[in-house]
Amino acid sequence: MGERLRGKAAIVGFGDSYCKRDEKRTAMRLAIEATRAALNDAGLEKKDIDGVLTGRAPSSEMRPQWNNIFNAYTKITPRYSSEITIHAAGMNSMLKHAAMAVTSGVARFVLCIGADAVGLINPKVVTASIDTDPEFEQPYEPIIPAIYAQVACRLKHEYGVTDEDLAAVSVQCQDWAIHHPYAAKGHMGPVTVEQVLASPMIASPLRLWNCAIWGPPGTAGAVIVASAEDAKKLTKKPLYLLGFGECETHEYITDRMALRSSHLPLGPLPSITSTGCRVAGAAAYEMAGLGPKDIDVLQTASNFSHSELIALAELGFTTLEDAGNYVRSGATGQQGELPTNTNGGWLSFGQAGVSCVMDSVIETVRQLRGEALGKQVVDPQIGLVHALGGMMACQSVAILSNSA
Amino acid sequence: MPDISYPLWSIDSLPYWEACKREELVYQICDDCGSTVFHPRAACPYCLSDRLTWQPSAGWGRIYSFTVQNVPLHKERPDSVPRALGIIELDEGYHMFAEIDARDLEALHIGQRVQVYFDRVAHDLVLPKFRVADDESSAASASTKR
Repeated sequence: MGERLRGKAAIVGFGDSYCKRDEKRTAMRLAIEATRAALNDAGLEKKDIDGVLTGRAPSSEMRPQWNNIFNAYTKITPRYSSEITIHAAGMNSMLKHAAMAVTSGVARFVLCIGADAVGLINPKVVTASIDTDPEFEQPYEPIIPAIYAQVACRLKHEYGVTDEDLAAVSVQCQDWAIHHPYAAKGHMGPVTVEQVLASPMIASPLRLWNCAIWGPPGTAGAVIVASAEDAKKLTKKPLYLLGFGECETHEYITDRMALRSSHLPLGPLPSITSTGCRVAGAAAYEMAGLGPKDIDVLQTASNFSHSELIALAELGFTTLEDAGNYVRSGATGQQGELPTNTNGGWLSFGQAGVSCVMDSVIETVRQLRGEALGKQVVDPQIGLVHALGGMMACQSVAILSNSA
Repeated sequence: MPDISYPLWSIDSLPYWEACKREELVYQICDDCGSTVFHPRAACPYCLSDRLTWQPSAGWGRIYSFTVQNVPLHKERPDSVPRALGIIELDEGYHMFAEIDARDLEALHIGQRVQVYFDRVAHDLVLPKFRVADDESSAASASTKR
């Protein structure tokens, strides 16, 4: 599925923009800064852009048709444009949609943007109002960690995942984050398993260090996608799009329990411990003709510690039973076989809002081009970006490479 | 901040909320494929039929998953925590999210028997919640009597 697209489209330019700690800038300002940088990087002018995709509207600026608001703000008049919204994970899937557009001739240069500025809002209340069921969950006033805790509780019950396993992920992400100039938790220095296990309980079994931080106060990322032919003419550093996969299983966590069967390999149903990540990953690997052993650098959605354990297992790097040991072995660390969440991930780099997905894309682009802002992995050639949106609801995987 | 988080109900789900006001828990059965349907829906999510019939639920179930939430959603209501929120597996085979009332939050565990009760939150809102059965054996016999 999708093999015809393998290596036929490439990222020809990227840009990113970050708020420093306690700095306030709007998502639109950040998005335009990132766009300016991406155009410069690609050697293109604004008028060359004939396609514009954005992710979901920033949580700091909840206006529908945010893509068109962006287009109007920048006076780009594209002939191909949409919000790609499978929650925030749509930002990762923008790469797939852009590749389809530039390889089919629908557009030549597609600008893909994601931005948010969580420093301007009360994210706890805003996200709970979006991501929990407004009829059957919100009356009980859960915070988002209380929703994700349902999954963590079952992981402990079904797979023997321990609090120490969860802590290992937090420790690893923080080890990366301390090297990144914009990581929201970077200034806190390294953290130990004992410190994670002693941090305040937010929603059992999730402690403060098991939860992503809201921050940096704002981030944006922009990439420009073109056909492989155009890419060769434009840049010495094209990043080829080798594989994509996507799977959506539900919207609200409790309603996932009403998914009682599926034609897809989602494992025994109903369940809240299996996600569409396995399906999305398998599709991306198959399209790319690659497997887990080929991945040099990985970004996972790690809004909570256990989200990363699930991603590592469903992407084929380990099993849920052994995922904690895998992380503890250092495999996902700076000397490991699978450097993971190299900017600190959502746990420690933080979630500037929905743009956390774009941050994962940009971190992969920077690593593959040898331009990491934090710790640079030695000469990675193939990167995998995993994103999740909503309450484990939407899963998107993309595989990028320096060569077609 | 509103004093009460009202559910975003619709004309499709109104019979469910009306039943709650009568202290009855209800779910739907699909007349075409026989599936148990919950949450309240306009059409069966499995076969897409709109021939759904409301059924009374005995209101007994088990804890499928849970958390003890220590941080209030609204910081203006610090006394709303700690409290247990979980997914309940009803004996009729459907799952719902709810608050779980337990004397000992530390002792909560997956598989524990729970029974529905109705919390009259406002004159126009009655919320189903669950209470851990004091004696799990009597709870089990109560559920089989249904």
